[in-house]
Amino acid sequence: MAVKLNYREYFKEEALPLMWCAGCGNGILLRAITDALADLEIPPHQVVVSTGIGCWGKADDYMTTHAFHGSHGRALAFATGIKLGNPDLHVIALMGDGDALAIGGNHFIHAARRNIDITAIISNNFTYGMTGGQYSPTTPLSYKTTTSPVGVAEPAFDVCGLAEECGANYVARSTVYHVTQLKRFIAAAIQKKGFNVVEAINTCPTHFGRRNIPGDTVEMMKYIKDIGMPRSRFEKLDEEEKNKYLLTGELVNRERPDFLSVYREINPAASESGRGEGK
Amino acid sequence: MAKNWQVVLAGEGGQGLILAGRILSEAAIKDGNNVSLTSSYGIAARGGYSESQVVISEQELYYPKCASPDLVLALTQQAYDRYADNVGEDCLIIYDSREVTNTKGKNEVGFDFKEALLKIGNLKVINSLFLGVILKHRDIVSRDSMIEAMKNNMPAKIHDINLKAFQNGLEQ
Amino acid sequence: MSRPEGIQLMEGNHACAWGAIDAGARFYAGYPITPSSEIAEVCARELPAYGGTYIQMEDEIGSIAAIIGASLSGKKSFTATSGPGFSLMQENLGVGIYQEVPCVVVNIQRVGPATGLATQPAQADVMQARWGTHGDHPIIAISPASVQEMYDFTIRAFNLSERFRIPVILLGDQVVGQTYENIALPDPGSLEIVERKKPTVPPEEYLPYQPDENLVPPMAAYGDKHILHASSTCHCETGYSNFKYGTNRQLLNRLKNKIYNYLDEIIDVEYFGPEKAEVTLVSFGSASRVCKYVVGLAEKEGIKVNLLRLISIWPFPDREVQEALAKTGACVVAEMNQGQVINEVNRVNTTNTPVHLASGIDGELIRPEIIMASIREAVK
Repeated sequence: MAVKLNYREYFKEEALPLMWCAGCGNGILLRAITDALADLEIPPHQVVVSTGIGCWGKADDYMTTHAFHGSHGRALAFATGIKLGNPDLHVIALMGDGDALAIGGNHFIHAARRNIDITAIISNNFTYGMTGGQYSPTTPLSYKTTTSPVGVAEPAFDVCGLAEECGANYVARSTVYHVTQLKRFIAAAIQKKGFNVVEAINTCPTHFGRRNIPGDTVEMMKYIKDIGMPRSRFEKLDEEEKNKYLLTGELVNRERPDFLSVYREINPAASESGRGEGK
Repeated sequence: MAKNWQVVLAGEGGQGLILAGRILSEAAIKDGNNVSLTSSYGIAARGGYSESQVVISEQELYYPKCASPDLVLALTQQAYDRYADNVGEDCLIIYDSREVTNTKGKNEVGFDFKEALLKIGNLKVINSLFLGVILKHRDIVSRDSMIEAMKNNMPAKIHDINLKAFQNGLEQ
Repeated sequence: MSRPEGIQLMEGNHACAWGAIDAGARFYAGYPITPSSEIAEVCARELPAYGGTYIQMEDEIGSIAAIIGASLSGKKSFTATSGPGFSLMQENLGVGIYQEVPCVVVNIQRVGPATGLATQPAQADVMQARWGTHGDHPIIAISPASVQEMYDFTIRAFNLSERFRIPVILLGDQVVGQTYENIALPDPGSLEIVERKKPTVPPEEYLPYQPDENLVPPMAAYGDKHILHASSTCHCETGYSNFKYGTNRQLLNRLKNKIYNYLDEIIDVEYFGPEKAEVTLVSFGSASRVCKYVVGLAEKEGIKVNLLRLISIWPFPDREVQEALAKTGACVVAEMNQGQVINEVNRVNTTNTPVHLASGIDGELIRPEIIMASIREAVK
């Protein structure tokens, strides 16, 4: 690369202003992604973002890379085809918490099990923001939402724990407050082969914050800053205390072979018998 | 071989009825005919009722099933009962005389497959045997085509024993 | 295994898979379901040798999503399924139609609803193929009636799909899927294969949803310098979401017109039997074979019957059916459902020709006597 790339290469400035609410961290997350791509010097045409439906699913509207905006929960399934259709691509799935873990939960666990070479970036704001603040599979137990007016009765998914158990190669959690760390994790995830998950704890002052976090958007930001905790401190907490915090950092970084590497190894392409390679 | 044929091979899973249907069909194609082969099996493949229906025609073949069979092979009583009352007078039923004890005595011929197989020395080659018996009674396909189709559908090491069984069927 | 050649005995589902491979399909995603699974099995075994990829997805929702994704990455892609799986695919079928993604969905119909008779044939997904996904949309569906046509029509399905940038449904059933017949496989080099139109403008001028004169936009692939922004949200020519008044009307009309202005390239029917008849059968797929057989049976009874066989089901061959109704004394629609195509026949029945239904819903190929009974009723 002769010229150092800038996040603006990936960011569609004419689409501004962002549609997200004041105090929402999706803009920060978007900047972290575009910054990471610029740092990695990956040309926009070698990147495909596959977005789901929901607030964070609108992210492709602000990107200049190739993009696929599909159906709710299916970003990873589309991304799977995109990656297998052209393995040279960097495929990044952008999903919300409900998107990735409720309606898309099945695709999520199987993408992780396959260890398909996709980076999944989950904006976790603990709620369905776009539809008006209903509880999601990551809403903490007893927190209030429009569909859990006296508190949600279901325990929350641990996004990263689930990804780890299912086989993801790289799993990291940060928050939109910890921008530098977030960007570093995203860059690492994009660079690494396999199914790589970055969970970005996000703010939703409009819905989640209003019902559960006293104060304004600044308080919401402080809330997510405070619930994130690195392993060194987290592990000193007793079990009950642990429920109040979310472990942050690079939680998994391993070398399972990715789906396509295994597939090609056991199914070598016998190009001489093929009538062209299809592309 | 100018006639159109509708052949039912009926019995139970494990008797090679599906493979025999394929062999008969491929032989008919080698003779230059159009063929339609349908099989019912699935969970029945490991025992239970199983059958192949082969329709052979020189013309375009519309109805892919045996609407009025010309020949029924019945290796079990159940298979026999399914067809005995429902076929035309011209339909020949070849049945296993050990398994099918309750017969109607119409246009039919019984054959002791087990006895023949014991003489051949291999109980597994029943499908090659009954294909021979069928060809002995009705010239559905040419013998050369049948032998070629058998070879195409079996590993080389079992060609001899199957050809022996086929020949045995032809000579009964 | 190398590609089979020449005349041989083959199962319909295998013929479909080879048709796809010969049409240039290099990606298959699917979920096992009777009676379509042999298509997946052939693809799993054969695609790698062609540089292609097979993946077994977690469900049919994921399967159709994956083929849409792979098609946008430049690979001809397809999936195969049956009733319950076809239901699950409806959501993303709409995504494929809206984003104009060429791909083929094979539905080997079985008896439903629900699990129904999982191993037995029906033709009861006709309306689901047309309207199963929500919203206004066009669709192309074609219906094979033999093993040979499972091969030929799979290739045609890919060609239509690439030509019109739309998912095409191959509406087969258990009979054509799992019957073995003699098939003549042509030399692949002799086939007419249609490829999607690529952009000719420089990358910076490319608008992924700006149509050509035939209303179909040239299609870049992910990875090209021509940036492809494909959105399931209402979008303008840039591909980016757009909520201005008029955008949706413009998009939906173009999606419709790119198909309905070119029906001559899509509609296909077959006429069988005498030109003038007392009764005209209208049928499709495996039931239409039984109709051909029945034309002969009826002749023996002294009833002159002919057949209009619908090869393309959607868009519906309005004009051809209308003309056939105008020329005949009565019509019998023979289909393996409780009456789906018959409603379309009645829709275009401007001559008030009596229309009867021969309905095969017994989990088997419709019996000739069911059709004969309707014919006798029609001439009474």
